[in-house]
Amino acid sequence: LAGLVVGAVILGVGFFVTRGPGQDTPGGSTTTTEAEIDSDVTLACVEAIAPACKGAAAVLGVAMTTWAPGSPVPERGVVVAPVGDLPDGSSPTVVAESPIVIAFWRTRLDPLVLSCDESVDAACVAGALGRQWSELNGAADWGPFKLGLADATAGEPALLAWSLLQPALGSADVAGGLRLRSGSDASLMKDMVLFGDSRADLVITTEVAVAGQFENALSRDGRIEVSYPSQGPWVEYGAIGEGRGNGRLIEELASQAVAEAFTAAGLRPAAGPAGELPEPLGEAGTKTPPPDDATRGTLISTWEDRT
Amino acid sequence: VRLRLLVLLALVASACTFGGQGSDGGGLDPDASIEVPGDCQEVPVHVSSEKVTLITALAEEFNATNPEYDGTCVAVTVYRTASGRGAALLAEGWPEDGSAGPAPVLWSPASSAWGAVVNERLAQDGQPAIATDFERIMLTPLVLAMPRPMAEALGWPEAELGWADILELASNPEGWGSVGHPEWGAFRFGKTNPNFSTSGLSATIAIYSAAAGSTAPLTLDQIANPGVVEFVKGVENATVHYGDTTLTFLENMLREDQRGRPMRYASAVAVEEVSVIAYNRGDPADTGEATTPPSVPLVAIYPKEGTLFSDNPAYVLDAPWVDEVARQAAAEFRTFVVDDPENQARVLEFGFRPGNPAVAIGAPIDASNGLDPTQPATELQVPEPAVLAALIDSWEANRKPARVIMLLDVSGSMGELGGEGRTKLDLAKEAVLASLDQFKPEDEVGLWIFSTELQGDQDYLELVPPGPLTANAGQIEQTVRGLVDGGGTGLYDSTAAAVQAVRESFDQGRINAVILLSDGRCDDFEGQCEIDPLLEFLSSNERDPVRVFPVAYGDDADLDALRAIAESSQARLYQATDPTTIRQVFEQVVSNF
Repeated sequence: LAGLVVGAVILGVGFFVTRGPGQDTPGGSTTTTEAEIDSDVTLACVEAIAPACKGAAAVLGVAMTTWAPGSPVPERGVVVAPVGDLPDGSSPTVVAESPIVIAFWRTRLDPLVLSCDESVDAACVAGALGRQWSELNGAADWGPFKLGLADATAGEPALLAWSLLQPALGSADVAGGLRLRSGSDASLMKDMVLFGDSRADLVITTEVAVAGQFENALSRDGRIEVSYPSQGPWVEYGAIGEGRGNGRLIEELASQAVAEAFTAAGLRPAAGPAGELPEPLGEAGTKTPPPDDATRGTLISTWEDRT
Repeated sequence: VRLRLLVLLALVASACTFGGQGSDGGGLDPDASIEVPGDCQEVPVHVSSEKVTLITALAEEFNATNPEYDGTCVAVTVYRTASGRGAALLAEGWPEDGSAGPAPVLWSPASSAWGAVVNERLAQDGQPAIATDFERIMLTPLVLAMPRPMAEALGWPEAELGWADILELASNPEGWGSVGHPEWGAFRFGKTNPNFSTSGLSATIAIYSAAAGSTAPLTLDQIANPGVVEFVKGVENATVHYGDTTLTFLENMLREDQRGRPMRYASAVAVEEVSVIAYNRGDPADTGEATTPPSVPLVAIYPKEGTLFSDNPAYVLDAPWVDEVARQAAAEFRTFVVDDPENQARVLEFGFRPGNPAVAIGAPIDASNGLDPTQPATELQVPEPAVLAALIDSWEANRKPARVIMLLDVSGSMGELGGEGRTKLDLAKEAVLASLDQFKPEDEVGLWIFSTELQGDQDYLELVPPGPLTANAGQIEQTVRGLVDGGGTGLYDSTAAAVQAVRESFDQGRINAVILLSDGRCDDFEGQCEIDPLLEFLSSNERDPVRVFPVAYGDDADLDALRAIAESSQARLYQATDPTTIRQVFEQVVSNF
């Protein structure tokens, strides 16, 4: 499904609306109505992209709420969430995407670069697990290398983050070095900032979740750096909504104004960034195809075995 | 198999203590101060004591917005429930008789470790988890609080200090003399009982982790390692006494400071960072009243081996009694508390680190209070439940042993009805017998009684001399069962005699103490009821202090006198105004050992 939607995005120009049964159809007596978005339609987004959605909602003049995977889809609302976390059988339109990145405290940059031949990648992380910072060119009082991951069984972003690290692990044990384990990519980043480097030196998660905590980290005297894998998984965010007026809102999520709002919050519009991504986000690596069902099963079972 | 900790949680659940700063296990009676309008649905919120004032104020503001869900108006009410107590009640089934208040929709213990305990216990009973959906209200790390001159003598703030330094100092026969301050005497450590207190549990985990040289979750092998055990014993041996609340230590330190002896009582106490701020304001109980700051402030040492946070989660419970309206209201209230930057800024006013990362950490968490907001460098993790249970068992076996005389009032008034159709003496007997299980076999326990003229002019009798409980338990049980009431209350001379007896056989390797249970006022012969000589006697031996833990029993106990006795011996007063609570209160008293 995700691959088909991506195809639609790539082939489409401008709007990427896919319409399912029961949705509004364009034309007829509703044309005039569809020219404007009903103000009572809500944009419901997963927490990690809430800042981006707030910006979009302001542009579109609608309300915004957070939505948790597994919750009902609001009648008068459009849900934007990782495609893999949307209800089974839905026909989402991909409106944005976010690469899985490696994020770490700036103080850890030099030691990691020194220890990992200039490249902070999955192999570098795997090699640091179970070691003390004193062995990694860092300060002794930093203690052990502390990794943070969201629970891979809890959602698409976490599963894709695990898919980036897992092949690099070999037979290494993760449990001892996994000091921060959260329920979602948003809570992972929130915890990283809340507890500082006492709980996690480095996390693997979505770029947008990291972007959501840049300023908070700075206000707490910390700076987060980002390393992009040369190739790796990207999370695709799809929009669904079946109520009256929702189709128009989904169309508008591909507008230039929304794209700018998304980009400003560190969420990459499906058609590519519209303007500058916030510092220090940069050029991402190549997108690998999403894992198939068999690979997903394997990833979940390795997550459960190794952590 | 029920875990030891959970058995202890049940113990805590039924306990009744008297509050305190920091996230301690002391249970407090539910007390909702917010009234619910007749046509509104109540949304009960249960929080640990350190948050009550803040959350109550925020609940009142939230209710003022007239919140409604699905056409139903709601009102958030706030109940003070100790973390361990809340955990035990949620795991065992919230009582329907109202004794613990209405079942919570939103529950905020001191640490998310308590939520894990609830879920673990429910899982053992084949039930689904109920504490999964949470946001953190505020954070505070466990620190070693030390009078500033003492910390400076160890190299603070430049030096990285930790449990290994504590062990070295505690083990050195020269004590503070080894760092150039013989006038401070031996190193004395204050730490609460991990069965009763979140701070005590965190400190115990931290000491074992430091001993194991690991920041990863502890393992069973590490806990059983002889080297680890020796390290733990070394630190524990410096303990002045244990107890259920860190407030006891802080209040005693402040009192000594006010007497011009700030370094006399304890050299370091394991408390939460927030407690350092409250102490330095001169208000360790965080009453908000105008106070005089101590002459010698405390500073925080963030142990170099790592420490734990109390993360104050707010759980919207996924429990059968939570309907959709209540769930929505609780979630909305939590958002109001956590997401609103203004409300989170108020968390700082209370000395906690905000749970919302968008709110920066600032004053009072700064150097002016001897704190470092960039610390701790390493966070420790709560071990798996089975390991935690083994750790508590190990601690009980290796904690500092005690030498205690239980001095019981058997005056005539003890024969009055205390409740449940039983006399006060009968209820006290039951409490004493139950408390024997809390001691460890190596503890030395003795039994004395007092009234008036029990042996000639002497108002007291030694019924069982202090000796190892392995040998004494049977005799104590038999003797207690045979006690009868009669006579007056020769309170002061009996107390002095018991303390003198402990002093004469003082054992530096033990906590030396007297538990004094009394239901009345001193009514001895003329001259025998002047308290000042007793207080002077109690505070006269700085080197070999014998702590007196009085229990004010019933309505007529002499609270002022008993409090003065506790303070003079740098201990703590306990109250069982309702005699039917004596068993729970006695458990709290024995938590000091």
